[in-house]
Amino acid sequence: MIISTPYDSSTFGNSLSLRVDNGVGSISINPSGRDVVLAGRRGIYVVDLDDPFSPPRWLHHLTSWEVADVQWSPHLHDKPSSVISTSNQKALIWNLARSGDEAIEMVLHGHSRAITDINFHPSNPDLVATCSVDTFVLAWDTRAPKRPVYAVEDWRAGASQVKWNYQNPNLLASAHNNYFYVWDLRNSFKPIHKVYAHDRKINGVDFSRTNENELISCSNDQTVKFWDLSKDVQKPQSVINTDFPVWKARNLPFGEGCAVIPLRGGNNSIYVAKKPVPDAPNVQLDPQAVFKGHTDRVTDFLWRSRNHTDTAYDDREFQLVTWSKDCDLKLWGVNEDLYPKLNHRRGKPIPQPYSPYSYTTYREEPPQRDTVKPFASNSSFSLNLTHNEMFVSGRTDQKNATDHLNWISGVRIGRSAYNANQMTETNSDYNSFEQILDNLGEEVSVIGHKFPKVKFEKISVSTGVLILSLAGPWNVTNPDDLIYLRVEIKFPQAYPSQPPVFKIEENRELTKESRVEILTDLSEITSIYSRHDKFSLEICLRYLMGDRMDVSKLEAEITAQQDQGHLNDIYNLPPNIDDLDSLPSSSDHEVEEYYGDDNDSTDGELGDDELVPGLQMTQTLTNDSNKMFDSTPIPKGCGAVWSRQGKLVCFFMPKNSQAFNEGHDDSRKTLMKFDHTKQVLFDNDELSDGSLSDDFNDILRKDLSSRRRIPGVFRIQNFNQSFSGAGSSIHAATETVRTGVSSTYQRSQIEAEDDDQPTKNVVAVFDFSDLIPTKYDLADEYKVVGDTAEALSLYNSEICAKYGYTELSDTWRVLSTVFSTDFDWGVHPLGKTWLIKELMTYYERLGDVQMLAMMTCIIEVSTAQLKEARAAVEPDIFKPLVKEHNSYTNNMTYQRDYRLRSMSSNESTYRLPFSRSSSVVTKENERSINVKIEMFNEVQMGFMEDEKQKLKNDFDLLGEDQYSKFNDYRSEYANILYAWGFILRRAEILKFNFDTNATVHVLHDEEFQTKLKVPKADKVCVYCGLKVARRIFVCFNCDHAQHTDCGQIWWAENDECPTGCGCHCMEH
Amino acid sequence: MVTIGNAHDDLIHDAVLDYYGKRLATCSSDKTIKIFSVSNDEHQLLDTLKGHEGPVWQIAWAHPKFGVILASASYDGKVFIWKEQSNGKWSVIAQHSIHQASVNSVCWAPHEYGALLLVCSSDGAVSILEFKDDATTTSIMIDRAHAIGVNAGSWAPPYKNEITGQVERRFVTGGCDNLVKIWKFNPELNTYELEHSLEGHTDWVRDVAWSPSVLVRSYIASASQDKTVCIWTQEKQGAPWVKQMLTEEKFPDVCWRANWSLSGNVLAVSGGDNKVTLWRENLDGKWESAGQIDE
Repeated sequence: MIISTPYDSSTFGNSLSLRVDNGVGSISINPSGRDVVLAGRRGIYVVDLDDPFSPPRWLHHLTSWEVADVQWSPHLHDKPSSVISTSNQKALIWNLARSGDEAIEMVLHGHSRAITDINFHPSNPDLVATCSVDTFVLAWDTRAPKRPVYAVEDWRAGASQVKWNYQNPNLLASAHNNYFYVWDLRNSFKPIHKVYAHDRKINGVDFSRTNENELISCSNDQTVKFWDLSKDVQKPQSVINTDFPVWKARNLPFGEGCAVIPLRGGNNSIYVAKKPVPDAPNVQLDPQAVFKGHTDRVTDFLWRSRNHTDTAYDDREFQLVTWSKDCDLKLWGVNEDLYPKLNHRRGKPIPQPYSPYSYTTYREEPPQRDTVKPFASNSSFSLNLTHNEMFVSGRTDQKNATDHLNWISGVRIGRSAYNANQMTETNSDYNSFEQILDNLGEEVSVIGHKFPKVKFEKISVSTGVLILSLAGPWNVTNPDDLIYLRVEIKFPQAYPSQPPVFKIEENRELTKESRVEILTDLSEITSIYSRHDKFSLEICLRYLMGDRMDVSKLEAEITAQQDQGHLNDIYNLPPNIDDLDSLPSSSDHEVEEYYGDDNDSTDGELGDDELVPGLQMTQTLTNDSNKMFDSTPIPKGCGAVWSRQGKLVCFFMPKNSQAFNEGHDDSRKTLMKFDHTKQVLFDNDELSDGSLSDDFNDILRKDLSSRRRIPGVFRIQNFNQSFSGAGSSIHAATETVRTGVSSTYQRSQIEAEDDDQPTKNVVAVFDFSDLIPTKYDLADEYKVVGDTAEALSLYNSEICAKYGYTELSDTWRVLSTVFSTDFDWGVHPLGKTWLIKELMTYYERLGDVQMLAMMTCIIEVSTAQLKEARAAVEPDIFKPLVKEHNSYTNNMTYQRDYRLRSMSSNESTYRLPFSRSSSVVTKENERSINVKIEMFNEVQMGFMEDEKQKLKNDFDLLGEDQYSKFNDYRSEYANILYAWGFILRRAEILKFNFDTNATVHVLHDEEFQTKLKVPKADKVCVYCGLKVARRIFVCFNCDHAQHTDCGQIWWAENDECPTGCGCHCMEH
Repeated sequence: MVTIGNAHDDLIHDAVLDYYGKRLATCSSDKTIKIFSVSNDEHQLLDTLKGHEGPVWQIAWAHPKFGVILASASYDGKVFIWKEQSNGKWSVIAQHSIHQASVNSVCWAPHEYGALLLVCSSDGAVSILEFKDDATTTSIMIDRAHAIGVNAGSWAPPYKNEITGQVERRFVTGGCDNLVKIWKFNPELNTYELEHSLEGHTDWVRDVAWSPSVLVRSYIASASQDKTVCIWTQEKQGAPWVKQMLTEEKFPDVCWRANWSLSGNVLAVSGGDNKVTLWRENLDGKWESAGQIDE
């Protein structure tokens, strides 16, 4: 269907509700009434009101400021594509006929503070007025947009509104605080009028469309005042009192009257009132029509109009368009009998016919010069008149079916549309808006709205194909366990008179028997419904999701409903009993078609060959194992895994609705909602309250964990009547839900452009290295070799201080004292061994591998140092001792050997048995020599047993267990260093784990260990080219040698000898 | 902080950084595995690995000395071993499909043991797959390791027996029988034998994690559908395992994952409440919260 005139519009006389998110703040309508533009922080959106199922065009303009106002040029002929919007202190003029990247035509920058209002000149397409909190009112000529052509200011109060006079092109009014000015372009010094109009802040001013001197103002003081500037300007002609602060009051584009919206309260409705009789001040608001249905504050309203251009009569029709903070864009039909009430006589002759205009949409992205993609929407869409090709930007193309559904699920048309959108007209009968579905598209949108759990994977209304997935309690063994089903539904052209055809993808969780059962029941249900010309998607989905119904009674129920004339459930169906006989197929027959042997049936596509191979496979697998049930646990949707670098990789299930955060409260709500939805079909008064189930949708789709809760939902059979009433009781209920729902679309919108916005899942890597005691930055800078233990400790202390690790720094400083050679701790029980032991215990508890490993290294350095010092001083005495010890080492592990040797180097300071009275003494070589001699005497005197015990005691001071773990600490730390890429540091640390006399040994690495040999002299590492003495790896085959470290690096990546000799060394 | 939204078309079940923290692998119900390069705040999709015929539950990077290798566990009952080829493309170099039902967990052994993969399946069996240097594989199967199904497994760090000097191989598994079981390798028989069976959970055990540190004592964390996380500690080899609840009160929802940091300092717990909580043992041996992450 091509829509080229407003009379082709399917939405004009209808009610329509569109959900538009993304923080849209203001709205304006195309003069032809085809498009509306919504402006928000993410840019502007163009919605084609005649193709509400297509997602809006989005022109990006990110701003952190609320868009105070947007206005579509009212000039049909001169600048029909021009839109102006605010962006803080600037005004942007968009040309929607251009593609998104270049749509901003110019920027008006003259204000110094945020712009509060903008207004196109009603007759001169080049003129625009802006006003701002900087108190200025500026008029611009867009032909010279550099600076304003007119500037006046109030100096004191920021301007809230600026409006041109409709009749006199030179006049404009601006509102400041509780007064307003009327300015004349020809006089830039003084206002023509300054009117202290209200007691409180003025929110809006609006000139009469017909009378140059008439003006409406509205204010927080709960009044709307009508002024006649030709008369006494300090006294209003009339005043309407309301019971709410008035946000906007504007003259109607027809008749005599005004439309009023409240700032707060007022049922979030739009009131249309007659203009009061002059000189009858202080009348109460007496609305001729109230448009009620928004669940949050209505922020703006517009009139969409249409008229024929070839008649001499005023045949204008109007439709109210409202935008509210509840994120619903609503279109309201205007009842014919409203016009006369407002003194508007349709059919009145007019002096000359309205000029013709093109009824086009700017929703479509104009073709871009380079990459042009064909329009790929499945919904019928008109060619527009000015652009003869249909194109859409890649951006819109990317939207997947879910986004699309998100959009169309926010679309509701006509009487069948939406619960809340009731226009309650005073003096007219209450209109009951039962839901009547006109076509599959509407049904899908209603269903999509109502069954959020159902994921629509493919929607093709034109071909009548839906692919959707949902979870239902079809597990044979455990009905509480939901099974994921993927269903393809084909709707015949004659639907709903003919039943749709269902196909369920095989999956391992679903037994064949259940599948047959489901399909049998479904086909029975659908054939019953089709016999009555009823749309059956909802009932089928409810069945699939576990709503157990007695299929045999369905028919009776439907008939009963019809007999009672209860046609106002969502499937209003004209009784079509006559056709019964002509309708196809009993359900039994259909099932045969599916499962019988006659594959030639038209619907026989359910053959196994159509199944996804993987699922087939798993099916077989299950059969093979003869498992009664699948014990696969519920998938994990959230987790956190550490990396070796102290980063935590987290992944989350999407969590969209705010309501979800409310936890239990929410799930209760959810249950209620679901009940509510469930009863829709059979409750006569029920209106489709999509918003409630929308919330449910959000929760279920996004929150996997609630899968576990669903069984509970299904168990509850009694529904909550409190939700069933139509009208305002629902409004209250929906109010809380709205915000959550609105974020759905917002998110999907954003997703289209911004990959970072989560819709389905999110993975994030957090750096928690601060929680890990082992520090990356320290690892690289710590030193364990090349200096004395004291100096190394001091150095490390500084490193810690440099990175702000005060505690570690202090520890190192203490250690430096401990290792100080100028300071003898003697044998005080709280001496250094005690201290070291305490420190080790402490860091063990902290799990600080780094510190532990470092400390052990420094301790080793310290002992080696003392040993050297000793050896230098008394080489003769030292030698026999070593010999002595060698005899011990025969049956000792390497560590003990090392310890014994290190012991031997510093007995003088360590050995308890030889303690002197002073606990801390300055070390003197002479004295220690004496001590030594004493000890050796002991040894030589044959106190062998004793000596052994004493040696042991010595090192028990450090704790036997701990000492034995020195190597483990270093190994573990070395592993960390390896993962961090500090190969050299790792080597330095590991050096302490190797004894020059012991067989070369590489950590726990058995793979390499077996290949290692006692070092050979004068080998050169074939990897790094340096000489190797210790820790060598030599290939038995080719005899090439490597450092073991080099070897680890090389063999981790390669399988051939680094020399290129072709030897696969690791195999030998 | 790197954030990747909508990496997959469906729920993500695992995301792991490689040994060097440079690459991120994620797996999902959309049957694919994705490899991202990650550095600073940037990420880039390197490859999408397709081949599994069901949701991919878990992935594990092998130690780099074996090459750039990833193991994946899927609902389709298979384990794939993926290797990055020299051209940067990934291919399956081995396939392990002896399990009869969903494979829920894969875990590489400490590299010292060689390329050894622990595989846990809903068919109740655990298999230990060994990749030999000559590119052959052998596997050891433990049938009926846990009744109903095995949900997770984790290797112990290499622990040297002080008496024998031998490195003892152990791993821990958690299953649908609400038990946590510790298995020890018997080199003579070339089998794994049940060493301990720890009772303490009242619902399925969803994850087990053996602390990678050998320092003070052995720690095992187990997360369960009963909304609790248990910390099992063993002071010395051969000593009994002592159970400690991570929290006195239950978690608000089922617990899915427990994961130790580098040296076992911090335990990350996640679950059905879509939150990640971090836990640290204080000096008094009590577990205290060290942070929480919401989406």
